[in-house]
Amino acid sequence: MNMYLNKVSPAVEIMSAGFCPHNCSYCYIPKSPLLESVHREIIEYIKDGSIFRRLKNAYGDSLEHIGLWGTEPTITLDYIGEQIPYMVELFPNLKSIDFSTSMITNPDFTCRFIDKLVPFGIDLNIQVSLDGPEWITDINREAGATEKVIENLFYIVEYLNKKSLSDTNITFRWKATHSIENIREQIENPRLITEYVDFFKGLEQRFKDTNKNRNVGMLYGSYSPTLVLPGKYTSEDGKDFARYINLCHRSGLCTTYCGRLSRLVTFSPVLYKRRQFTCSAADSNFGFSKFIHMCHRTYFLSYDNYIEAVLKNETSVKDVDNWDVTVFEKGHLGNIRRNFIVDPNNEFETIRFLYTMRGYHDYWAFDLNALLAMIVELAEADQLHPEYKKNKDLCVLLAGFVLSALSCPAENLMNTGNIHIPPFSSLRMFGNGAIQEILKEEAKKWDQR
Amino acid sequence: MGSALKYKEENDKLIESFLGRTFFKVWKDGGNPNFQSLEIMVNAYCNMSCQYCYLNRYQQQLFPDDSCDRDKIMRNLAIFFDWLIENDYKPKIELFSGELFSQEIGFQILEMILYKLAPHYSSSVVVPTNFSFVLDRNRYDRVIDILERSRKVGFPIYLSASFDGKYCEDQRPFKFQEIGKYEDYGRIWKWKYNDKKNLKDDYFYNEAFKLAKKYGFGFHPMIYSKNIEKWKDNFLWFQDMLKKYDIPFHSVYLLEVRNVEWSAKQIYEFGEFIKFLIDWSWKFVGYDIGRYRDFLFKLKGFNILSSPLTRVGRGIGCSVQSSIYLRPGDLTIGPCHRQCYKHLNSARFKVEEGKIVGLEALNPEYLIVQTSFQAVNQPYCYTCPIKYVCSFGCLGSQYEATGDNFTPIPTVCALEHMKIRAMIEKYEEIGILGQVLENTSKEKRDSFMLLREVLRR
Repeated sequence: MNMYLNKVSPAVEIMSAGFCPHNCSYCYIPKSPLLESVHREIIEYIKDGSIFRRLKNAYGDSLEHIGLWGTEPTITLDYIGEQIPYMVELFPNLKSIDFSTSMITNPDFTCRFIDKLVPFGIDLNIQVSLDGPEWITDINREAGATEKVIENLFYIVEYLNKKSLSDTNITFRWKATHSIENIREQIENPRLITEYVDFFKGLEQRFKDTNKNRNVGMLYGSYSPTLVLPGKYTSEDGKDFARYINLCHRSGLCTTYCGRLSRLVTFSPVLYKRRQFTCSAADSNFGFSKFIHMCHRTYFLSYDNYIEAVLKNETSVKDVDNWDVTVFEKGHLGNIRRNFIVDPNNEFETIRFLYTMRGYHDYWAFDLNALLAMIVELAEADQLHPEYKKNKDLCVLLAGFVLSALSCPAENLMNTGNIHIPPFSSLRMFGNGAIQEILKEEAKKWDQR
Repeated sequence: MGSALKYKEENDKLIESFLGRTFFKVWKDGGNPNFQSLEIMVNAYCNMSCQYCYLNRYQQQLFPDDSCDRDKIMRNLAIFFDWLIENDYKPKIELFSGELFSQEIGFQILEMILYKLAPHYSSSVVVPTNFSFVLDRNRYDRVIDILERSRKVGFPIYLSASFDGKYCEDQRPFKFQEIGKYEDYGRIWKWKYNDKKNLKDDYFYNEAFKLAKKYGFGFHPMIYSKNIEKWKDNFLWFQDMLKKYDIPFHSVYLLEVRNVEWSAKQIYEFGEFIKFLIDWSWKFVGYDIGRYRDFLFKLKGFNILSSPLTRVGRGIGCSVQSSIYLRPGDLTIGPCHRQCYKHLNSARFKVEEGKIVGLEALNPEYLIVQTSFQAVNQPYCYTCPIKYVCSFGCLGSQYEATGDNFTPIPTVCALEHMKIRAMIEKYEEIGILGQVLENTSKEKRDSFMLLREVLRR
């Protein structure tokens, strides 16, 4: 029995869906008809409970939080719901289940799933992917998506109004993702930023007005937009992004990146605990399918036929520009599959994987050294704001920010072949004026305090 | 222009800016010795299959077949050398492969260097070789001929002897099963030697040492886990041979193989060998601390005894930060000969109409980080008490064992700890620890003293 994960982590993200009916423009999963066979395999391991038994072997009783990941998680909620009693039996400390949904699928999946959770007092956290009003969400997703998301969300809220949830709490939060094209549109027409804020404020007000259940809540203000990361950003993109952040601040919209910088500053006395500033991948959380992953990001990379199809461009949509297939071709895949997707029955490999990942979460020095060198070279090549040529403190701040606020060892692996090294893309995006904008905004708040 | 295209263009410009400010600038104007070298990684072909060799284990990933085509290699090298000349670049050159002199292409490349580069500038070429060419009269004569001519044209070829010594040769068998790949060379061996296990007999070693004496070549045997218990005898044999051929005793560069496979028992044996080496050297210098310090710091202490005590002017002692590594078959710049995996390769030269017209970035992030990193900052190393006196692991080996190029291998860490422990214990026993440390940096001295206290308790 391999029980290594129980010593380090109370949380897991299981691969609970392999197929998605949608084609969101920024999705990191290249679509292929072969995803349907992946999906069937997933349904099988949920229905026969083998995924949970494997989890039990790895985590023992320690598991407290389960995230449902893969593609669109709601399409297998009925199968997961059937297994809730078994899950509770295996994991007596289970406290919550999370998922992030497009909210475009049938909302009854979610309602029925909540019904299954209530007898066991398990909490549910639902992240609703909504990028903004029609002019942004319908472009990123599909025509009519915005309306559908809102309709489904309030369908669920009204359903919950009629239910007694006992000890179960349901929390909604937003997840808005903006591409560089979305950002440019808002720069050209800054009125759209105000419209964006008003749109979410209106929805939150409607939520307050509609929701009658004390066990149901929302994380208000969570609509602050996030970037498609890591992307393939240029220095021009970075300059536009800085302008956009400036406009957001002027419109009273504080981006999520302000909070992330603030966290770095606020918790600076405990900077020696790097894990407090890195993402949870292979630290407090793991990805789990038939294999152990650092997180959900590498699930699909373990499927040979699927990868082969993607490499041959046998995708369901001919135009694959939105999916970064190039990283599949660069040879990064072999590295990830060999070293960062681990058979849970292989004790030696599991220990090696944990050892290597701890090096990411517990040490700053190498990564800071790496980022500073990258910043210096970008500045020398005139691909960063000129200030980086003379202001060492700013260089350190940018390095620290990228290493903490954008911490993602999986994306690092996909792009540079190394968990410690982020792509230049992130530095170009935040190193062309954005950090200064964020800093100015945060400084105002610090002054006020 | 699309964003993806612009992104690629910026990465190309970045790698040109980086190499232009560092290696290419020094190749042209001189300066920082860290940026002077070019290593040409010809291919992976070798007539031996040494048990610890990375090529023996990862040949296909490091040198895919399409990068080993002989015609392509020669054509691309001609283009590359023209580019060096056109830009007035004058790098020092090392030629790396499996075994260069077991292939016709090895001679052809050396001829091309003498023909194309020697008229343009004076430098040198270093070729590590297993010296197996001395077993074949025809090859031997050709090697001598090219060595002589290289000296006449002011571009001397230096060989570095890559054999481990009489007592450790069983870890370096010949590849008889692949004779076809090595032209007629293998057939001669087969005819001449019926006993395949004893190819490297006294004739072989005598010829190799004679050559080393004549041209001043050095030896770089690898200390491998497998035969570590034989190394005391092996070292004494090396010294006997050096004495026999009147070669300075310090001409042996000892380097431990930093692969994952060291066992606890082998690590212990390694420590015993280090102690033996100190005892032998101390006796050799007549128990004179002045001469001993000269041996350590001027004559380089067989490398293995001096490396914990001396500093290198870069972040890691090996050459990953001081060479450009070119795989000529596809004109790819890789991080080093042990790391030229597809996903880690740094850049590729763009060729149009037979001329190099620029660089295409492949993984510029990795190259820049590798060139600038400090090994003391590696994860785990950062908090290690021997970080200032450690020789550190090999990045390629670390990748093979841990999945991350910058994560140390625990068994290699144990090996390095044992080296330092053995040094402290032996120098303490002899009573010269303080004197040995006199000329070292403060951080190295402090590390040794701290570790001495730990050992005492």
